Amino acid sequence: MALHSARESYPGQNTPGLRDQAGGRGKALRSIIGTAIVAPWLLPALLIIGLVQIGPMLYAIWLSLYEKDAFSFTWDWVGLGNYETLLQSAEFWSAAGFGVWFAVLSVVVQLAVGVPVALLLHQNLRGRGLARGIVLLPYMVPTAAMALVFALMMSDIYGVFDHILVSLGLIDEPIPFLGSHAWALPATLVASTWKWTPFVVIVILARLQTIEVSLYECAKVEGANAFQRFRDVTLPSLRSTLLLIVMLRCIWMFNKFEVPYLLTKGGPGSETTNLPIYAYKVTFLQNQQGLGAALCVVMFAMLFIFASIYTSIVKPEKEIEVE
Amino acid sequence: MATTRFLSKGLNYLALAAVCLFFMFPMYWMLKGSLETAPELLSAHLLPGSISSEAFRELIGQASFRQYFFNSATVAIASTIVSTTCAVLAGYGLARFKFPGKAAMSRGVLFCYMFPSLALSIPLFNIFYSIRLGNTLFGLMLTHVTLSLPFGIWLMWQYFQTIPSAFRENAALLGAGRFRTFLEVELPLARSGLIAVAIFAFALSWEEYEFAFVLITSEASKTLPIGMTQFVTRDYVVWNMIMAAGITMAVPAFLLISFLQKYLVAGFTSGGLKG
Amino acid sequence: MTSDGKGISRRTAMKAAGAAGGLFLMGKAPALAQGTQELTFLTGEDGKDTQAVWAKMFKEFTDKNKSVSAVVPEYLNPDEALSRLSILLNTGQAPDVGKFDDVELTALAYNGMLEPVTDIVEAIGVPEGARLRYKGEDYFVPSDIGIPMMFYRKDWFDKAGLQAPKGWDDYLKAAETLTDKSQRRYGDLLVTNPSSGYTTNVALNQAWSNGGLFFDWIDGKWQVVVDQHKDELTQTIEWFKKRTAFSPVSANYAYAQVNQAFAAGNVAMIEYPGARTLNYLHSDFPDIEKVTGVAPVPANKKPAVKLSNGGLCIFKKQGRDPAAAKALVRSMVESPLYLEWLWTVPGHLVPTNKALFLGKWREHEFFKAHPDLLATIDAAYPSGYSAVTGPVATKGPDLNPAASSVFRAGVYASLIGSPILDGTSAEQTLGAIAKSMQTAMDKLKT
Repeated sequence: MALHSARESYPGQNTPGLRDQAGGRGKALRSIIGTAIVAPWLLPALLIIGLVQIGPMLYAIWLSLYEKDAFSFTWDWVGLGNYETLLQSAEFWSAAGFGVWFAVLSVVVQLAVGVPVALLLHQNLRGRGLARGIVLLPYMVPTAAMALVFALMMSDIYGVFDHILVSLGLIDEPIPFLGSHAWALPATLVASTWKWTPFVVIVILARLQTIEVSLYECAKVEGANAFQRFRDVTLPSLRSTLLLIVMLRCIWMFNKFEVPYLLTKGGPGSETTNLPIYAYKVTFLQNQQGLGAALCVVMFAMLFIFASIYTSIVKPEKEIEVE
Repeated sequence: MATTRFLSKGLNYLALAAVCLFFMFPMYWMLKGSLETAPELLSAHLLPGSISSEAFRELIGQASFRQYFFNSATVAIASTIVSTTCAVLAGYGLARFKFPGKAAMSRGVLFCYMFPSLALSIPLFNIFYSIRLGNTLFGLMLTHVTLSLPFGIWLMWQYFQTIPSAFRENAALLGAGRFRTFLEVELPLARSGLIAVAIFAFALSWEEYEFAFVLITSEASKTLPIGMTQFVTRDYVVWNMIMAAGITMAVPAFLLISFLQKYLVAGFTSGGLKG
Repeated sequence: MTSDGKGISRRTAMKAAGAAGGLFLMGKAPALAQGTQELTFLTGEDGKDTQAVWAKMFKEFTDKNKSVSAVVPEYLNPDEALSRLSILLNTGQAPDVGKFDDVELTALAYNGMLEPVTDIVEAIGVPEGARLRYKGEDYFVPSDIGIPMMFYRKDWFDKAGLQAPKGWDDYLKAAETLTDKSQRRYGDLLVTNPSSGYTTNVALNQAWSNGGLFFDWIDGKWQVVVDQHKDELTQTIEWFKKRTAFSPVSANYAYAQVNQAFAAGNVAMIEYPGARTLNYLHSDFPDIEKVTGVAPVPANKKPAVKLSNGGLCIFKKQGRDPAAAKALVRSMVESPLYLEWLWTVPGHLVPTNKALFLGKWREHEFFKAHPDLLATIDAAYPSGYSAVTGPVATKGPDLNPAASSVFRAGVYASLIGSPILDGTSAEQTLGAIAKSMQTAMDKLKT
């Protein structure tokens, strides 16, 4: 009997009596028991998240209804005034537009680099261990140090990339990678790819370990070539992980502050200003804390809508239950 | 057949070399900068002009730097342990039990990543001071846990799903209790997931800047990413020091990954059920 | 039936987590001895040498004042210090003493965050020109003044037979002559970063030097006068536009990158507000220091330089007697170590005290190596402007909080940024600037 018990149950619960009851009372009882049993497993996580994230966020929502200078104690009630100001400002819309564009592009690049690299590192090659270490290394370098190194390498005045290109005679004048309209975005993308592709690699790599070797052997026996094996065995197994990574990385890249800020200061002009940089400027440089909080709430709302639509289309929890 | 195989092997190694070059070059530039003088560094030559370990010696000679390093290590290790533990428990709970609102919770967990950290900073400072966690490494550790926990929960959830229930049922037949089965049978099988979560948690905490900046005001509790910024002043960047600090931060992390990634390799094949 | 033993030991891990948690909670609680107090000190002064002298001053102070057990400083870079200050103020954890620039101090005084320190300022005899008052009270004790100046490559100028430029025309001519982009060499470095204080300072210097004003004290109050100075300000914008031809286009810089570009040996002239640059070259780039000349910032109609008035302030705190904080502030500017403090960045921290300025302060070695530095300071000093009061010689009697607010919001920087980066016309740019200023003015609480 226990051999074919459902996976979402625990041994003690598996009495036929409970299972067979179709009535509402049984269902309610089961859900109460279920909640009571699962609670201890989830509680530590929920407590920490509530304290550090949900509480402060409620405060930010409250603050967004006031006008408040950073160097003042006065809170002036403005209701939805901050939101009105925001939605009417051209700077907000341009920052929102760039933020979305930057998030989507950088995730595409990170996946385009990360998935093949993970597959490569999964192969049985000599020096694989060292290569894995090297690829994961950028993830451990503090973002500030990394951004400074990229700013150093990409400078048109003392940068190595321009130095090489000019020395080889490939260009006549140094390219201002970080300061021109054409180059600021690609330069920021390269830096963020270097820093965050390792995340994609490590997650995919870990996932690849769980694909049973027998599946590949079966495919081989049936005459599938390498590409077919990738398409029919690897890709379906990675699907749920990939879908999750896309959503997370989109959220993270949308909320990224340091890399675009330290590389380009959001410039030239406000070319590479995304919403977090704009929020930082509003809050700490222009000292309008209420407006800054409203901006954060709007950012949250945008992500919330994106994630709701995304999760209702791809249904990650279904992915996970139907293995 | 043999030639194509040889060729594809060769291509693989070529690709591996290219990948390593891409990921190594900025690290090389950092190392080079840490060994050079400022004028050499700004001259952008590919090979180092001079080599001197002065920056490293000065860095390690600073008592404050050693303190930052210790603080960073403590917070990163503690938050890795707490985050991984919470993620494993919650991931297991979500994977193995049925309860109302499970679908909503699965999404809700990920929604935690949508809170912009700027919005959290000021209120968090307030809350932490009022519950006496301001300026403590423990408080900082808690915030770091939230960076890795939601994703960690998801990852562990997925891993526990991939473990066929036959393992657990076997254990149950042999009379093992729920928790013991979890600890001794299912957890070891989810090991690559656990290691991935641990690496992820460590990395995020090790380099975290924003919460550490907001919450820690005393020298004694500052972490490395914050301590490093003293080399970035308004008027100049002390390049060799900041590069040396970057390298010093990368090395232990590199050793840790090299050590942990061995455990990523094991899958079902080696970890199977014994007994 | 056990696992194969290779994994992390779970029990050990959990125990360690618990132990670590307990350790943090017990070990890090702030302790305060009974009957004494700690004073906290926050500043954006990030020079290590200056911090070292202050450490000695704090020691000297706590040795004398038994009621103060320690002075606990937090040193951050200027941007971070302001973020920190804003967090601390908003959470009721204000520092006791701070050192900031006049622009921030004005906002703090206007918002009622500071204790008046008129008694100290009068007791130590600060000269009238260096005092900045709000509604009749002094809110900070002036400690040092920063004076902008231009640095240029003497060797390149000599080779090309050029003199250090005094006016805008000479400046453009020199920039053109010395630019050779194929060698990555630029005659000029025009910073366009809309959020950098560097951009703001350059914009203000040049606007003033062309006779342009943004605010003026008329009929007993501050008024926006951008419209009345339209011609002068339009000329200033046109001049900035001309300069872009000889500057790297990517100069979206802050102070540090400006210094680096010059130190890397690729730029002929930088208008940099302060001798910190020279000190930086001295310590890290001695070869460049040797060939660097110092001259006043070029001016079109009359010399005008934006002074950065640094000052010590005391934050208001509920239920606390400011006496100890006041004693600390006074001890810092009256300390025998005061001169040593100013000498940590020779030429940049200029004393407010006239006798000291003309006397002992000049004896530092650094000035012997750079006689042009002292000459530049002497020439520039009388033409000083404050961002929050206007020309020092004819300044309004009251600090201008609206000027502080637009300064902090980067409005002045848009004089360079908007026309060059966004291509807005001079008229549009000035219109937007005037509007922001009027809004800031209208918002002021009376």
